[in-house]
Formats: sequence, C-alpha cells, structure tokens
Amino acid sequence: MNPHDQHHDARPDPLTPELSALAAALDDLGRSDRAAAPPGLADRVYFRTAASLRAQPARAERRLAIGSFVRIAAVLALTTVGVIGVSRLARQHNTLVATDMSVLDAVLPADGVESWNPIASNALADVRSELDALESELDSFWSLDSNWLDDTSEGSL
Amino acid sequence: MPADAADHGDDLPRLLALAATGDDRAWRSILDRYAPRVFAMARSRVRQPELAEEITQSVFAKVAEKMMTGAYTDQGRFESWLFRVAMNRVRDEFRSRQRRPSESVENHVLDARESRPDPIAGAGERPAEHEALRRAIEQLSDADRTVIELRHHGGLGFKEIASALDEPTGTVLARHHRALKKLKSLIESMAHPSAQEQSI
Repeated sequence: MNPHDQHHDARPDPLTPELSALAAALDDLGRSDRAAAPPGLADRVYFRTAASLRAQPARAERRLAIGSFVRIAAVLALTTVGVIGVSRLARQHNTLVATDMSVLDAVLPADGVESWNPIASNALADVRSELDALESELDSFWSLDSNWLDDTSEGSL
Repeated sequence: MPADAADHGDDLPRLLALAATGDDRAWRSILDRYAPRVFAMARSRVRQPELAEEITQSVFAKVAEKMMTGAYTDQGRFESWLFRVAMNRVRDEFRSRQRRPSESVENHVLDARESRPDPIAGAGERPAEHEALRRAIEQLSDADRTVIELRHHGGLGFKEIASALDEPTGTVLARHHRALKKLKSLIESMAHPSAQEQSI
C-alpha cells in the first residue's frame, strides 16, 4: 500500500487486512512491471522525441524574435507620432503668439469656451466687453484731437 | 508512493521548465522517471511489450510536442496530464484495433498468453500470484481497471488519479475500494472454481 496516501487520503472505509494485503500485492505487481520495462526504453523514447524537443524551441525563438521586432516597431511608430504631434503643437503655439493673438485665444479650443461652459462663457463675455471698452477708449484717446500736440509748444511741455 | 514511482516533486517544475526550453538533460531525466511507469500501465492493458513500448513512445512524443509548443497548461499537475494522455492513447489503440478484428487487442492478449511465456510474468518474485492478479484485473470494468492500473502500475496518488480522471477524490477512493473487493472475489473464484459454483 502506498504509505504516502495512507497518511493523506481519506478512504470511505478503512481497508480490511485482506484488502490491504491485496493492495500490497498489486503494488508489488506494479513495481515488478515497472522494473521489467525493456532495457533502453528511455533511450528509444528520447531519440524519438529529441527532434521535436530541438525543433520547437527554435520555432519559439523565431516567434519571440518576430514578436520583439513587432514590439520595437510599434514603440518607434508611437514615439514618432508623439514627436510629430508635440512639434506641431509647439509650432502652432509659436504661430499664434507671433500673429499677436491674445493668450486667451491661443489656449482656447477652436469653438471657444462658450460651447462647453456657460458660466465661463458669461465671464469671458464680460472680460471681452471690458477689453473692447478699454480698446475703444484708447482709440478715442489717440484720435481725440490729432492736433493737440500742434497746439502745444515745445516750451509748454 | 512506491519508491521507484516517487515523483521527486521538488525538482519536477524545474525539470519541466528546462525541458520546455529544449534542455536535453532535463527531458532525459523526465523520461527516466516516467517512461517505465507509463510502460507498466500500457503493458498491463495490452499485455504485449512491443505494443506497450510503441504506446509509451507515442505518449511521450505527444507530451514533448505539447510542452514545446506551450500547449501544456496544467501547471503543477504534470503526472495527471501525462497519464491522461497515456490512458487516451491506450483507448485509441483498443478502438483502432477493434475496427480491425484480426488485430484486436484481445487477440494479441490471447496470443501473448498462449504462444510464448510472458516475460514479465516470471520477472517478479511471485509469478503465479502476479499472473492471477493480471487475469483478475482483466475482468474488471474499464473504470475500475483504470483506477487500479493508474494506482498500482502508474504509481499515482489518489489525488493525481482524481485529477487525471476529472473526478472527486472521494469517488476515486470508493472506486478503488470497490475494485479491490471485486479483485478479491475474482481471485477466490479462480482459485476455487468448484467452491464458487457450489455456492452459486
């Protein structure tokens, strides 16, 4: 009887001495059959299976190499797309600054804050109206009387 | 577990991992350990050493193929998987030979018994007892016989048998117990046929 299982397996009913003796006889038969395996059995099995043992890892290595190449290509592609995207954004930002657009216009989405936030939209409208008012005041200041300098002598300044 | 069938489970995962990378020595260790056990189980079923060896070789060819392609996923249950492959291979052999009546396994079994001495029958210390056991085992149902052969020829523990058969351990234990009782009855009837007939 298998001593390992005697300790670890819960048998429904304990074996009677007769059945235990029979199990021991079966163990003996099995041991005898294992010992009677033909000489060189493992060698012959080895030679039959060695080819697939050697072939399959090579295939696996090829699969691994192909997989690595695909991964590297994907990383390169993503990096390239990222670099191009960042450089375009930077160029766009520089262009906006260069064309004297307001910072607010530069950072706002194309359709404006109004489209996604009504509160922000109102605040922005107030700021714009104030800016417009200020701008018109500045315009009017410069255009008040273009001759006022003419009327002022250098000495009066 | 019988000493010659001890699975040395400590280093088996390492050997399997090495073998899967094509390590010859690891694969050879696995073969040394398991080929005689698979052979003994197949030999008990087909009674022909040549056919049992052919089955053993094909079992390990399939195991090698599955392992190297990563199709073996029963991590930690190698024995159960190996012997499940072996059982299926033995059954396939029976089915294919039954389709060719002149080559049925039963005929081979009879031929092996009648035409030449069984090389294994005389190998043990108690050949008469072994032969009586073999004849009794042959009369068991396929399910009972499978448990007996996995247990005593394959050297598997009950948990591994349960895993190989995909059944609860309690069911396997009960079946083993029942098979032992049947074997005892069969051996008694073979030893004392007239007494059995009278009792019937």
